[in-house]
Amino acid sequence: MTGDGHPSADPAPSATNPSLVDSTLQSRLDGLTLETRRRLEGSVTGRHRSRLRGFSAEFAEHREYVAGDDLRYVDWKVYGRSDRYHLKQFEDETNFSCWLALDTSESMSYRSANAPLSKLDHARRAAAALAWLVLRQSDAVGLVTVAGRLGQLLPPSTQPSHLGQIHQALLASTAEGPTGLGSAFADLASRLPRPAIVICFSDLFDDLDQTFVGLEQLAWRGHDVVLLQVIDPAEQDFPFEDPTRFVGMEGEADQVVEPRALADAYRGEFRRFLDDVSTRCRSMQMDHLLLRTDVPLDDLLPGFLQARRRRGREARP
Amino acid sequence: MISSSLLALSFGSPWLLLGTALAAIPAILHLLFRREHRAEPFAANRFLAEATRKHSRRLRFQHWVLLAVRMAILMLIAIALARPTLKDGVTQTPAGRAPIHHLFVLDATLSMRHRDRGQQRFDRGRAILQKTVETAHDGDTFRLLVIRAAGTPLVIAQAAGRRGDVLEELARLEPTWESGRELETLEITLALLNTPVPSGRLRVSLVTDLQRSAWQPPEQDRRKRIRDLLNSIRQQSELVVYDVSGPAASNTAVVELKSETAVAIVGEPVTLRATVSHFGPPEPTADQVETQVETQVEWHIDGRMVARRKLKLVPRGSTTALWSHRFATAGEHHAEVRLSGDGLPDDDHRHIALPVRDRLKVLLAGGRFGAGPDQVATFFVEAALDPGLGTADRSADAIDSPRIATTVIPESRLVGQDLDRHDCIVLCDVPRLDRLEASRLARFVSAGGGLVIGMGNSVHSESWNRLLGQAGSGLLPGRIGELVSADHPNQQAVVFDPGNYAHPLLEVFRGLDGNGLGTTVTLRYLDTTPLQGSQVALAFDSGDPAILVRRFGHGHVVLVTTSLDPRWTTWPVLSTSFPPMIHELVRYATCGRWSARNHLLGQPIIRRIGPQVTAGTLVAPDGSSLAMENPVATNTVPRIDPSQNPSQNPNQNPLPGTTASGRLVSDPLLVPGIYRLSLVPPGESIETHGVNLDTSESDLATAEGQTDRARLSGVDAPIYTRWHDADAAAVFQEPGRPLGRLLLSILLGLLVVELAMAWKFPVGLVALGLLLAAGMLEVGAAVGAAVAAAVVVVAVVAVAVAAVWGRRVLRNRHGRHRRHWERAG
Repeated sequence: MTGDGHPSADPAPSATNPSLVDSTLQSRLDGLTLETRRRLEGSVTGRHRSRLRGFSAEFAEHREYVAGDDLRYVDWKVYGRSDRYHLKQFEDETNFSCWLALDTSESMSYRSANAPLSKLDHARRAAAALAWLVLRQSDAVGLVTVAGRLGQLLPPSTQPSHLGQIHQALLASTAEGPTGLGSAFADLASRLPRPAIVICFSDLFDDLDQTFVGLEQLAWRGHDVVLLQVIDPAEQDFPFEDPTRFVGMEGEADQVVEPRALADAYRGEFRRFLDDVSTRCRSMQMDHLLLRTDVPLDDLLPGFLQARRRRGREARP
Repeated sequence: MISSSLLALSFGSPWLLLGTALAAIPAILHLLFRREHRAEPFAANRFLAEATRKHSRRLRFQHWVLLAVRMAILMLIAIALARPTLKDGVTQTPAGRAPIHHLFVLDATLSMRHRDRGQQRFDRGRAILQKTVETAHDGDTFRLLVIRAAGTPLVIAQAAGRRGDVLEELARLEPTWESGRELETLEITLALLNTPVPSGRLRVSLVTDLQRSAWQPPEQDRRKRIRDLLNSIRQQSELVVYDVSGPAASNTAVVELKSETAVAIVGEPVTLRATVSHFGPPEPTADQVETQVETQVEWHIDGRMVARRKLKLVPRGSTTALWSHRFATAGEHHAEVRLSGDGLPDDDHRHIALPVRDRLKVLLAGGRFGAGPDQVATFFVEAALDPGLGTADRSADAIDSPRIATTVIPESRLVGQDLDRHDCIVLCDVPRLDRLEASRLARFVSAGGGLVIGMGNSVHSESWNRLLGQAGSGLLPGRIGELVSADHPNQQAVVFDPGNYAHPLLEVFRGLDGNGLGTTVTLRYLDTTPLQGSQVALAFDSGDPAILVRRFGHGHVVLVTTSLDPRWTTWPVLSTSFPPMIHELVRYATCGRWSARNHLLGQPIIRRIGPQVTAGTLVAPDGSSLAMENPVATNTVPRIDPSQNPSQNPNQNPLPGTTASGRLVSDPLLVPGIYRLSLVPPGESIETHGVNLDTSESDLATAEGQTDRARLSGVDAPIYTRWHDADAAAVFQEPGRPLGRLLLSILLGLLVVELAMAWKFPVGLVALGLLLAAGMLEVGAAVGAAVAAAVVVVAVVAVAVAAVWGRRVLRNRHGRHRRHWERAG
């Protein structure tokens, strides 16, 4: 049982894949929660804010008494001040659904010489960790892969055994095909039955306009979108020295360059790209976290969750 | 202005300009690079493409600039290797060099005749100097000296400006057979450096084979003097040394050929001794010492080979070869020994002139005359020389009997004798001589005659000492002292003490048991003190000299301190050693007559003549004729080499006892071989004279040392084995604005620029700007201050532009390691 009376649900370890279980990360995430920044509606009374007004421990607002209301919720202090009858209204806590949207386009398979993992592997680990966290807090988590279109789709579930299914789905995903995030997110937005947290794992190597159109579709439908952008250190640092033919992925043209002559210009372009993503996320009030594959997740995720929680509580009226 | 200099650009090795084609290599590599390079999958190619698109023009510019820099580097290397020079006129141009006054010092000694790889060392040296002349610039002048022994070293004494004339002189030069006077030549060189020259720099080119015996002599003072002279030359000029010795060479040489027989007489064996030395590589190993070098020795008599033998030599050792020959006829003969050839054939043979007499003519002058043997002072000597046969002709079969013709006179008739008709004069117990007799005897001996003097009761020692001793003509080998007699209470009879038979006079007695010398009892003798230059050939067992000898001019004087008759000693009657000893005394005294026939190269022939002779003609081995002059008649001074020690060479003047009017003197003889002298009016026969070279040049070992400085005894001067373009080096080193240095500076600068551009193009651009500024300053300074200021401004602007551009690129340097962690909100 958790402190608020909800049963705790550690995901069943026997069904999980050891390659996706990071015990260090889990120990760092222990005690943390993934919270929503928006008001969502769940099916079970849980800890998350719901858009619905109901009767719960947390006062939300007053309304005038109409005949037939329960007199137990009349705010007599307000009556004493105003000689009018008002009822207290309370927030109705619900659980939420969390969708993990994993970009499985070809570019996610990239791994440079100095990187410990490919972007896809790094994203899998982050997704697995967050899936574990969500299930542990008795929320539902599902998985969808995105590569030009929606791929594998695993609906959310609160069952601890669902973690194993998520691991299997993560490992079964392969990086191939174009990115096509925009249309995929738009498609996802139309499919989701009710607002959820949608955590996107992608390098965003796609048309940003279209991508954010898709993300906006999700946001407009009330989903709480989190963008975890996964990049390889070589993509940001461009450490190449020798004249090289850079072979493009996802059908991009090869580039023959003298790296030393072009390094600064490339880094500038990449920096602008990151800045653009960051700016768009901010404008959409969308959480954005840059995940470099050479930076351990336990250095980033706990802090991100804590900051998100803080922001969420600051944003509540 | 520099325009005329630019038009006069030339190249020392213009064919190397083909290397400028190498400048195409970077372009070719660029084309090849397009096709072959490392492939790297990369997910973010879109950003590369975007960067490329936005910076394509800049990248193309960088690429072409870098390509141009690389091509320029290769071109400059090729141009620099082609040794560009700016020809100038007789005056210095801003980019040219000052005229050079060349002093050539060419070694022309015997060792330079050594031939290896088909070329003489001298020819190699001459070719180097010719090349130097041919590549010289207009305005250069030349002087030429040769290192040799005879004559003046100066070939071109005044500064010559016409290269054709200098080349002609060089072509005419031939190496000599002489040794060298290195010290004197260097002194003359130094003196010439101190004389005014037209203009410009001084350069001394010393071309030699750096023979160790000449340049690293064992005498420390001589070596120090050479070092000091070379240092002085180096301080006043550019000293360049050329070593033309080639690979280390061994050499064999006949270093001596002499007759062991004092006088060559018809029918009698004449023993010739040749000493052959091998000069091999330094420090032979133990194996090499064991290994012998074999050579072939040929004996030639009067130009005809009479024998050929193999001779084994030890490396760096000497061996003796002997040959005995009997001459059938009297007259002028000569002998030659030849070795099988090597790289230096000139020292592989040696000559000796051998005048052969049909008999020795000995004049015996006694101080006592009478009827019986004991009355005649010369009796026993005559008997020993001519035992019972007088002067009658002898059969040629009686080869064991010496051919000696004796003439016996009382000493009073000595003055009337024509002494030159005799070979040896023996004075027995002569009381005294007058001045005229003493003078005539001195002339006779100095011309090569022999004089044997025996003591006796009649001798007035004081008169002898006064007229023939040190204070007089100097004939006597010793000062005659008091009589030592066994009759005196404190004195006793003595015997001879031959010691170890070291003196040549005792050679015949060595090894003969019972030779009689040790048993000969002498009762009386005159205690004689040897004078300087004399030797004690035989002593008494009392330690006092018994026989003293000394060389006087070409002849020898032998002084016997006892009598040559039985009055003082039992020697003539009781000792078997007396006759052979008398023969040896006569032969020894007479041997000098023929030593005057053999000379060393570089020395003149000095022939004593009678009043009737007016001139002489000398025919050299090469057929040329040389006149011999009477110095007094022609008012000429005999050509004497002052460096030669007169006591070592009897040909040196002044001849004791002679006057200038009684001599013929030739020029120094410079060709080895047999010369023939004929007198005017003609004499009895044509005399043969042998001239041989000084074999001090035969050891070809070169100066040792690990460095040039060590080889030159501590002098810092470069040593080259091939022609070296010292002008090119000077162009690069000369202060001022030489083209070569400018090119090198630009080349080095471009190398730095290329490295910087390849690393960071803006940095390289800044470096290029600075290089251009420096280069323009260099050129601008030559064309005037105003232009220099303008180019400085241009260069500064170029650097500023490069810096601004570079700064923009350098500004954003943090992308590589910045961790980008963006959080929404």
